[in-house]
Amino acid sequence: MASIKDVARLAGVSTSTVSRVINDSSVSADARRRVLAAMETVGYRINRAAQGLVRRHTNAVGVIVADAGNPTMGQFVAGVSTRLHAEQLNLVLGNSDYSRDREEDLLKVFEDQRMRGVIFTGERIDDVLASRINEYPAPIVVASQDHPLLTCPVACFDNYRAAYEVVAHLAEAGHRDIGFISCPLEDPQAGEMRHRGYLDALRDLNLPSREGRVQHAQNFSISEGCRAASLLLDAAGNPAPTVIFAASDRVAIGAMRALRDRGLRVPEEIGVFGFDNIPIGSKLVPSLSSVFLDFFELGEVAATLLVHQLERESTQVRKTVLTHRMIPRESSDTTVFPDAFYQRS
Amino acid sequence: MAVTIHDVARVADVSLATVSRVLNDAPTVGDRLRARVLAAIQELGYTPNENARRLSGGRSTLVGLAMPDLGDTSSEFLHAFMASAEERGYRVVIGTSADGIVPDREMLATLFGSNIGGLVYLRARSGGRPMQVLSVAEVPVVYVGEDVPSGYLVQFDEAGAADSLVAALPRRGPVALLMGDTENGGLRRRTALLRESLVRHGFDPGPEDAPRGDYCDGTLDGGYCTTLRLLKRGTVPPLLLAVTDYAAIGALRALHDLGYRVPADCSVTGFGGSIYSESCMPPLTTVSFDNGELGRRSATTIADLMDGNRPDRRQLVGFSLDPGGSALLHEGAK
Repeated sequence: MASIKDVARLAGVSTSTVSRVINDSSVSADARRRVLAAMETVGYRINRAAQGLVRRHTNAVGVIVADAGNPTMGQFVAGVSTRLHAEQLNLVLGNSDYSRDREEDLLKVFEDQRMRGVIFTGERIDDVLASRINEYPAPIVVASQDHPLLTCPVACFDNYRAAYEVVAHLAEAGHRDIGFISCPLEDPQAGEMRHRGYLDALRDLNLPSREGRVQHAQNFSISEGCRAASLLLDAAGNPAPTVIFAASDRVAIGAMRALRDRGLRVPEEIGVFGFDNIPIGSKLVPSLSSVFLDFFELGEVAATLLVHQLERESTQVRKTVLTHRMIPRESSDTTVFPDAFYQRS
Repeated sequence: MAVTIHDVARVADVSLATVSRVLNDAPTVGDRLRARVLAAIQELGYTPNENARRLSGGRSTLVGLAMPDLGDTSSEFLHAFMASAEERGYRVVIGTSADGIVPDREMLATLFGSNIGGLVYLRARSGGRPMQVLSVAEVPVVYVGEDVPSGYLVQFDEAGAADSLVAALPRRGPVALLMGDTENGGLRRRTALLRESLVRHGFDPGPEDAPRGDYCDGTLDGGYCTTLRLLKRGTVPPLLLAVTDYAAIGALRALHDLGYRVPADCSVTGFGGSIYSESCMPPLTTVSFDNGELGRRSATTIADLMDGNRPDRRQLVGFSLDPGGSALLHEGAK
């Protein structure tokens, strides 16, 4: 008996296109014609009885994340789950492990599984991926990333503004020499936007951007924060910056370790400010100053945007921007030894 | 001729919809009906995914990974699990209860509805019997973590780790235990192992019904609050064993806040390892497990089963003792 693969081969289309024709899903007229002709040629018969056993759609939504083990992503997924559960929808998670190929593959897997919709939080969206997302056959929402070409609803944070505000806060507290460790710049939000926020704030506040004050972490790990902070101290020379702003908490925790290894006391001799407000930050000694991004809420909002699409409610707003909140703690407390700070700057 | 859902319905004398509801573990089916359907399924040897598989033209290459919690020691596990599964030609989708927001059986039903060819179940938090939906699963299942009476199991050597940790600690008087709460099967078992090791090595953890110590839920806040409570109640125990690294890090902060010195006033130990254990002050004395190795072994075990091979039924992943600086240790243990 001829199979769907034979039909696909003869028609010169993918098996998922054949299955879309069988299920009356959206397919171009030309592809439909070719598939139907191929079915006739190879004698393919749709097994309607068997087909009836398989529900046309699962009752689940596919969620694609870069690293399900990251605590912020755990919060995000909990937010998505809460909202979907209220709608009697389930969730299947795809972990891309920061791989572009896996992201594409997962989009395909969820398409084949007939997910009701997809929530996508990739590491980086470029032109190619943006158009793949725009052409996705099921409702789709992008969270925590954005791209000018995207036509689907987007929910994200204002990373640029948040980083800008941290620098303004540190300047207000008396810091004139602020070091920065960026996240990987290939990540447009956590990397590029936070980096630009830092640079623009220095410029607008007339703070000098001295040599060696900016280092780039290659990933979001503690060890990478350790390495980047060491490079920063070596490159900055003497006197060292009075504070280091790291664009992710794990990187900031690594930076604190590097400072401790060199015998520098935080915050008495040098301050540290993080980003993301992961739970461990509040229990470290000293506790880590950070920026709180509510990933649980981001998940809820992304799921709501998807539910609206499923219910075919039209929405005029393409992009929803969530607020952030600065949480200064011990690691950037300038009241400890204020004199030392002002003398150095 | 393959057994179909129609045959199951006929033998159980119920409607197709009822069979389907049982297969999807829907809550709307009465116990008697459910039992009848399950009996018919077993009698006929029905495979829930057979039809779906036949339609898609071959066996499924999807592995379902059920992770009730998405904790942050699992990045390493996930990375290794996915790489090893892909090496064997399998792809991975994850089901999660998102910290209890979704009932576990609903999460599993969703995964089974996704045409997976095998399931890896991380039993981190659930303590009860394997769920019904797993006992009739006709795809291979591998359990990771807590003990199960039968089936394929990959787990950490928690008993060995508990013994090595306690053996490295000098006796300095009474010891307090930050225990796992009774709801969490994995932490409850770990608490029992620590207590047994303490008794074996001559420590006095207090009687089981009036333990010196208290329950925490293994979280940062749990460790912090429970330790504050302990310290405000009376004297400082010279040794405080926590059931997780997170609880231990919370305990360190509580001791710091009340002005106690670690380890001079109180030795603190963690359990399990976390990426943060070297970043706290002082670095944590703990036993850590290799999450990457657990991921690799879990993936190769399910891949073996899906390929028709026969892996070992029980596999233990080892541990290492991290001396850190939060506890005084025997000279030889450093």
